[in-house]
Amino acid sequence: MDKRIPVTIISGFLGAGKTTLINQLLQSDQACNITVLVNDFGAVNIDTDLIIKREREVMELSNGCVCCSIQSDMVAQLHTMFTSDNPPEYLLIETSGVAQPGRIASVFGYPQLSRFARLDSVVTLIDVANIDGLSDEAHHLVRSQIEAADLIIATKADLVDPEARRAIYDRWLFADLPALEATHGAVPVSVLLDQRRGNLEQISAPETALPNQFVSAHWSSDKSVSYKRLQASLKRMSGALYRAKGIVYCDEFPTERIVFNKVGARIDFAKSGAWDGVPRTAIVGIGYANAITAEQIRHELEVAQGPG
Amino acid sequence: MTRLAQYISTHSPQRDLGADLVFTNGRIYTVDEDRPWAEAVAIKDGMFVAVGSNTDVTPLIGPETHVQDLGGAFAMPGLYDMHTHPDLALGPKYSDYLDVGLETPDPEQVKQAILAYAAAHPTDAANGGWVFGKHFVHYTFRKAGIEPGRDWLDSFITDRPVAIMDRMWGSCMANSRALELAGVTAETHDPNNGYIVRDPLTREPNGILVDGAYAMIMAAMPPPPQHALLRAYREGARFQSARGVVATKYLHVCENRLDALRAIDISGELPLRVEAAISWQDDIFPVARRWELLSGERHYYRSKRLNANAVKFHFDGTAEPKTSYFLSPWPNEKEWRGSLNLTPEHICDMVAEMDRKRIRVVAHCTGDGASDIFLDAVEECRRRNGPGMRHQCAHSTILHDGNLPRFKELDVIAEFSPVGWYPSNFTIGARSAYGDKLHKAYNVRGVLDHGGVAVIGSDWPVSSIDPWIGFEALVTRANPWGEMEGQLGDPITVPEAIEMLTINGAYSMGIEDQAGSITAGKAADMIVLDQNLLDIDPKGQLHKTEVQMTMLDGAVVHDPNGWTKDSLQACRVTSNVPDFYPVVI
Repeated sequence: MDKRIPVTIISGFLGAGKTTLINQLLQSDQACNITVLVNDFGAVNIDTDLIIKREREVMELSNGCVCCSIQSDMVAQLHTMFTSDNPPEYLLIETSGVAQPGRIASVFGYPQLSRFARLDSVVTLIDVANIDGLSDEAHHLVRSQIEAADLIIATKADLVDPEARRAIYDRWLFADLPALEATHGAVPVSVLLDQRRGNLEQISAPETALPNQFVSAHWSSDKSVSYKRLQASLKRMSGALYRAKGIVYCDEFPTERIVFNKVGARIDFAKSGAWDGVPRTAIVGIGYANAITAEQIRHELEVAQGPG
Repeated sequence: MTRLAQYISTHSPQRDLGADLVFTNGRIYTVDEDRPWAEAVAIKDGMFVAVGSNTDVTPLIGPETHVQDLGGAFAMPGLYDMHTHPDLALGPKYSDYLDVGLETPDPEQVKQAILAYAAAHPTDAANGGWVFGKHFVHYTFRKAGIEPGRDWLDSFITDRPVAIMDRMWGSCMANSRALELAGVTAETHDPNNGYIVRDPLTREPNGILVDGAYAMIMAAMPPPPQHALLRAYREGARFQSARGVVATKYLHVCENRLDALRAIDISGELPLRVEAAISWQDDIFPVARRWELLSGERHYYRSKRLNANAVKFHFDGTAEPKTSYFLSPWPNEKEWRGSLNLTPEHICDMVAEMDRKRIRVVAHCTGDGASDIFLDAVEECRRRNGPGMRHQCAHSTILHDGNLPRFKELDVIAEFSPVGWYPSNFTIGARSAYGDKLHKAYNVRGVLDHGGVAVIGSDWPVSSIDPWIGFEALVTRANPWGEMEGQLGDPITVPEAIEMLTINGAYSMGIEDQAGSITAGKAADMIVLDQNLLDIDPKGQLHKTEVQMTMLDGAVVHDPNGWTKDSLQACRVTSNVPDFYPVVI
């Protein structure tokens, strides 16, 4: 089991709704204690009843969450945070509206940080009601924020009709990049964050209690799958399948348990030791009900069992 | 016969045509304790022959003497910039690398640009077949559903190494041939400040190298072509000279760089004295002829202006990746003290050996632990060899108080680079990892108070090559442009700073008895300025100093006012001064 701290980076242009989302995440009941790194402390509008302690750079909440402002040397700040006596259980980074989240995402690949933390996803918010009207310079930034994204949250979706939304996604996004539509800032936390810290032992059962626009599928097999074909299958489903994770019995590495975690366009595979008992593939995924059915998800995974 | 006639025999009758050049009516600050101020100087055969009053020089004015009335202008010895890198600052820019030429090219446009560049630049010895340049944009690749990396590049070019930077310079895309030449394989370790993107299971590199990892590609590339190095050094030296610099150290050179410097030197176009330090390791670029150079080939480059009797290396790291090596743990760390690139035993033996060969060792030491071990190495070297070369502690960012007296005791030069002397977004931001140590950074005051010799090195492109910015910040330790309030560290006085930039520089090159002050019998190096440095309030003002003339070895090498025009002493350097001033916001 991967014990590293999951990290989600939240980006989006000014006014895209980052702070609304952060406030929502901080105030909801979480399965774990979230630490949030924010740019502008003042913009975090927390119910004062929730605040236990507030210092210059840190705010502690009664639900276990912590909010800190980003220091100028973020690599040093993160390293200090991860090696402290009380490291975060889940880290959320809100990038500034004009930041390039790709540069921040890159630091989690540095050996000095990758030992402690794993980048779960880069989530970019786009304001579908206003994205087309921004200046050229802003479009440049928005593109770099989309370029780094694994998952898109389309905010103010209720202000734009479905056809126009589709056109915006075609124009701005990529085929493998799923867009979650948020109305009034409401995004299901279970889709956005990986709160089970990559705990793969729990994937035997399908997700429960998902809002009805989502579909969940579970698939398992004793037959080995091809690593290459599985990658291709996941890639094909990428735009419709928000999250998937699994333990895989691979043709190419038959003696080792292969695990993977997919968040939107990001798919991370890893080796997880030798099989204990009979090898068996088990995968669970969450998709967008409009775009994919549970049957289609299972079919795509069956296809991965073909010859490599 | 005309040439023979220039050799003056002791049997020839003495012809006295007087001095070559005389400057009168100046406020000349000599940096010579015996005579701190002078009104006039006379120069003959490259040396000062008289330093004193107007009446002292009058008898030396002959029929062919060019006399310049300074009209009360302030003059002083020329400046010494003891650590800088025009090649690193300008070389890549002048190397004619691939430029796709579009702000947001799509993959097809990148591909066509690569193929066109490859066709127009056949493989030759100088380029090694490399196609290197900028840029691609991750967004357009994702939009097109193409994964950038070796597979995509290999699909249309496999016979030549290709490396393309992304638009933000955050990553580099390389083909299989480039990865092979750079030795990047599944087994290659990631550097501390970046990583190789790999297949997570097979560990095979996919051809994207992020941040610090693309240095591995750079290291495998051939050096910038000779024409780029020539232009870089020529323009860098021209700017330095126009800003009053008469001597400099170009730290980190290889045989190609020395070839470029020699070409400029023998064409008579080197407007300053250059000490070039050969890279001890391949940490910036490869040095193919390192051991030949160090065993004697370096003398091939030697002239009055140029020598390569020095080596340079990175003993420890820097602030950002927390690799400066300290005597105590880094702020907020339990054990991490930084890292050394050479063992203490390595540096100890190499300093002693280089010292015997009269080669100066210049060691990059940012943490107090690195300079501590370097000083230990010099101490052992002195024990073995007795007095010898003046070795140089480069940057000296953080020094331990206990080591301050050792610079004098061991005759080691404390060199400081201005990048963190004053409050700025860089010092407070990128260097914030130093924590409280930041306030003890660049302890020039401490070294001087303990009798040590301190010099400055602009360290371009890390900070500006204009020496006057560091000069001002030395005496204010404040931001020269007022971008940030406050002070970092303890200032020194203007006369102390002038010594640092003149006679101390000469001392650090071992030529303090021949240059570095305005003294009869020394090399005639002098600069004339638009303001009296000892009269002005330096804050925000000193860095704006204009240089009205630069003279080196009695030859005027920068003459913006045309003082020597139409005379026998006419300035031969007439090229435009390139603009390498920092961008002021």
